[in-house]
Amino acid sequence: MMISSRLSAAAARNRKMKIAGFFLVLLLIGLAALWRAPLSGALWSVIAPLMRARFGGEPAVSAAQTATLADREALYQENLALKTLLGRKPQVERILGAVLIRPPATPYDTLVIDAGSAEGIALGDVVSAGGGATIGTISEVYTHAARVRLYSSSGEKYDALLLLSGQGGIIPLAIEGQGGGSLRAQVPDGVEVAVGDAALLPGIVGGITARVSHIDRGEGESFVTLYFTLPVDLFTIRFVEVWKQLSHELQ
Amino acid sequence: MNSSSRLIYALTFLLAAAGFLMPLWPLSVVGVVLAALSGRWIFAVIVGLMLDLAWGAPTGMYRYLFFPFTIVALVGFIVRYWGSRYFLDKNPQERI
Repeated sequence: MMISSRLSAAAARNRKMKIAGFFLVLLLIGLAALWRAPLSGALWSVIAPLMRARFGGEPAVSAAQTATLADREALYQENLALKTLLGRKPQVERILGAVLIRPPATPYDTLVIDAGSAEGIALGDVVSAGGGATIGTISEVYTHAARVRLYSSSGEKYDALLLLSGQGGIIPLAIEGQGGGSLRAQVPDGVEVAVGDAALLPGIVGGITARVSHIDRGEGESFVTLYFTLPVDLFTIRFVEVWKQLSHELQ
Repeated sequence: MNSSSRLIYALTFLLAAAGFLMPLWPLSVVGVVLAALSGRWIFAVIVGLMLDLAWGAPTGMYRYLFFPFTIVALVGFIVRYWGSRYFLDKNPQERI
């Protein structure tokens, strides 16, 4: 009798602990769902110094890269000057952010950078890898960190313009992200598209979003499938520029 | 808490942290699954939640999962529960 009453008391205690554990888990998941952004921000404020130490440091730049960068900067300034001359003055305030975590460290096509609302980052700001090479938009903002959703994120769709190097035209197309820095679009068969053609975001300050890396032409099909890659290597990117505000001022 | 529990908690956390830092996110999944299958499912859920908060919500068609690593922990708990009930039960209910 005594043994059976002890066993039943232990079983009852065990059952109560299981129920308490179940409600504790429900509470934790509910809290995480309701306050995801503040909790993520708090977590990243702790993790950021560790990730900066793990992935930080400026990469060595060769002389050839320095020369290319200088040439690109000169062309970019000439582009801005021409736009100003024609009555459009694109004003873009840029904020530099160091990449704390990048693919494949993240299981999704996202970056986490070390600039947040305190540095002036806002939801929806465009992110570039330098110059006009845009790679994504700000999807979550914390106090001193922010998450960037890349254009190549699976399921993301964007309207872009394809610059045709062969016949010199521009055609609109819808690009869909496939993950891993890859994007996909379809154009009618007969369009003279070539590997290396660039896709641009529309707008006065739009930059190069992707380049054609492969063309899939099926026999007898009406459409050609284009595969794009982002203009930079996501797996080694260390710094990004956040375009705080895209404005179109008229002189 | 006995020594095997401490070992499992430490190993789970190390695997999850190593997967985050290396980076190799499947290693973090292994850590979460190990904790859930060994019966420490609350700890597995906590580690899964932390990973979900750090890595953010999935994109694309997986966005409806919201907390995928936490779901992995809960699935591990369910597998452990049903496995221990039907495969590891040492006191069968049927009597002749």
